[in-house]
Amino acid sequence: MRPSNAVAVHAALLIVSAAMLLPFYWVLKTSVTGENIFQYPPTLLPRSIHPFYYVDVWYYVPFVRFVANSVIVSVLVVVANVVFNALAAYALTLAFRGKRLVILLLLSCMLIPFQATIIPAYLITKELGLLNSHLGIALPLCSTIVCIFVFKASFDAVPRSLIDAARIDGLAEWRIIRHVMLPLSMSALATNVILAFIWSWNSFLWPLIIIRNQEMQTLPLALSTFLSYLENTTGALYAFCIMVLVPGIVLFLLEQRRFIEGLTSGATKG
Amino acid sequence: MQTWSPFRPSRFAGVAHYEELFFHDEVFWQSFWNTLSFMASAPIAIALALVLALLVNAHIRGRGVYRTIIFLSYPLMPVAVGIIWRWLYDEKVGLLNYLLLSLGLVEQRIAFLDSYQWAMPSVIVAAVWQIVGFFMVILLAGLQNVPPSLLEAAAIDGASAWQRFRRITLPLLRPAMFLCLMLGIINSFTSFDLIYVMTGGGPNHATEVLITYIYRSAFVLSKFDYAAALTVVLFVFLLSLTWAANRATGGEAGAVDAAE
Amino acid sequence: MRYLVVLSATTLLVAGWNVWVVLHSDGIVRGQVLEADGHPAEGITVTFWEKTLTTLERRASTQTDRDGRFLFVGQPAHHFAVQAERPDDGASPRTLYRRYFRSQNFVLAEPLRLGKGP
Repeated sequence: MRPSNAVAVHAALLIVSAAMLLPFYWVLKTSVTGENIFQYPPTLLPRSIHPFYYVDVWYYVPFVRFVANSVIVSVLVVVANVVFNALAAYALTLAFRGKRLVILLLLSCMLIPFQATIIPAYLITKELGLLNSHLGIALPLCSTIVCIFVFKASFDAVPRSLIDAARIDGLAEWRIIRHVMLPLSMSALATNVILAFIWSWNSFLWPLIIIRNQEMQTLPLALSTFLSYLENTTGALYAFCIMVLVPGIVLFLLEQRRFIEGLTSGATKG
Repeated sequence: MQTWSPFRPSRFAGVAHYEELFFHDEVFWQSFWNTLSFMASAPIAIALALVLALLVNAHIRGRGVYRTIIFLSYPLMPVAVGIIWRWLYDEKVGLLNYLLLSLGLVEQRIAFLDSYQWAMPSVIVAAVWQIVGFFMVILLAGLQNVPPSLLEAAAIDGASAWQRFRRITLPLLRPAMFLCLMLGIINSFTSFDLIYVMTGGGPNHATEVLITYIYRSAFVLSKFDYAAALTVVLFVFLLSLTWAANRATGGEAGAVDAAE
Repeated sequence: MRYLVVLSATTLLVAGWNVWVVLHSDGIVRGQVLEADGHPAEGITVTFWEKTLTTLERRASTQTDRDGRFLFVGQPAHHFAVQAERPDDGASPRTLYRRYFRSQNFVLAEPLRLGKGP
């Protein structure tokens, strides 16, 4: 059913797409040409393309170290997320006394944003002696309530007969999770992995609080430190931006559907 | 409730901090007001997203591509987005100033992020740019749940497109819109990265929101006790808003079914 | 699956690039110095400056031979400048050059021209 004003719709959407893509195009153009950092009026098309700002970023800042930090923290977060959330979600599929209360408690925890707990989180991390370490950065991000419910929705769909058969065969509970639940919930697993990875990769406030020396910085923090040192006097800043954005964009494009479904799983219920 | 800092042992101080907060602190009220204005932008973003969702939902070719492009801004790092927008807003070489000047809309360049009245709207525009894709996708999911048979029956009965939209689609979209509103409110309370990178609190606290003020009090000025009081205020405020919104739309909405 | 394609393409690119870098990194910088009227200048001091984020730092210097050619070996800077000077007389402009990676073998495209005057 093609609407009669398809052209108008396309036109409107094209304008909106241009507005949404303009910042990307602009920063990409500046990172490869270096125009418009100091000169005015700005030009729309690039005049002379060179990749030298990327070389600058690679050598002037310990870029590899920053990427390694971000990757280590994200891997820690993703693994911990999957393990803890799967366990929690499995527990929520069993019937026990006070289950309704626990679910209500978890739901109300969803209302407390992480930013409201930064002070106690900082104090606890300090007491544990984990300031300025990978584990310290990863720890508060290790479990998100949304992920628990994503897993729970998927575990609930596993037929009880399967679980009962596994129990009769004598499998211990955690084996049931590993061999029965998880293989049937690969989609939820993938969604959680992607969500957890993106949240920990983009996380800025917590590393800002915890990290004390330059070597342990993660990528968002490194980018903001670079900005505060050099302001916008060099195209290397924008090359840094692009280098930092590319993994996020690539991951998103590869797993679009999962990502969107994971985020909107609340919209289609209730 | 306690006088505390990393350097002194704690003493019980009653409500002294709250008193200082509410009655003697200009910056607190400024940041409160800024948070409110940030929140007020959520309905605007939702309206924009609704228009976009309606456009993308129309059966045209390539709507998957449009959806991807519009949603692309959401999974990005807010720090990088802040740097990009900071530069678009630049007074001397920013693109926005150039566009405004060449379109003849203004006489001279505006210092967006350095002027007291333009700083907060500028930050809000950047935040809306980042989140409108997310809202659009949620509303799109809601739109696709509207049964087409209902719309067709109404069309046969002679209802115009606007009437069909107002009477059928809009009420069925209420849960999705409520979710967007909640997310917008929570986003305005927790949006630290963007503001910190773009203005760092703004020219003379023009863009200071509660969360940046909490960060500054706790980790820059080391006044942990005062920051704790601020956090409690933030949390109570957020909770009461959530509760009020929940009541206003009639009870249990969004989230996951709690009955088991 | 697309992951396989993306990952293998990325690995191949990275491996290929690293191999090429290793094969071409001796840190050689060579060029030629000419007088203002085009004759090759002999015995001129050429200095190599490295550019950091904020300053230029002098690193090495060498002399030109009969044809006015000079050669630096083993300078690992990706952003650098070379300048030729005749004491008490003209100097060439100090132009900045960039390389793709440290110690890339680099040949100056234009010869350095000594200007007249102090």
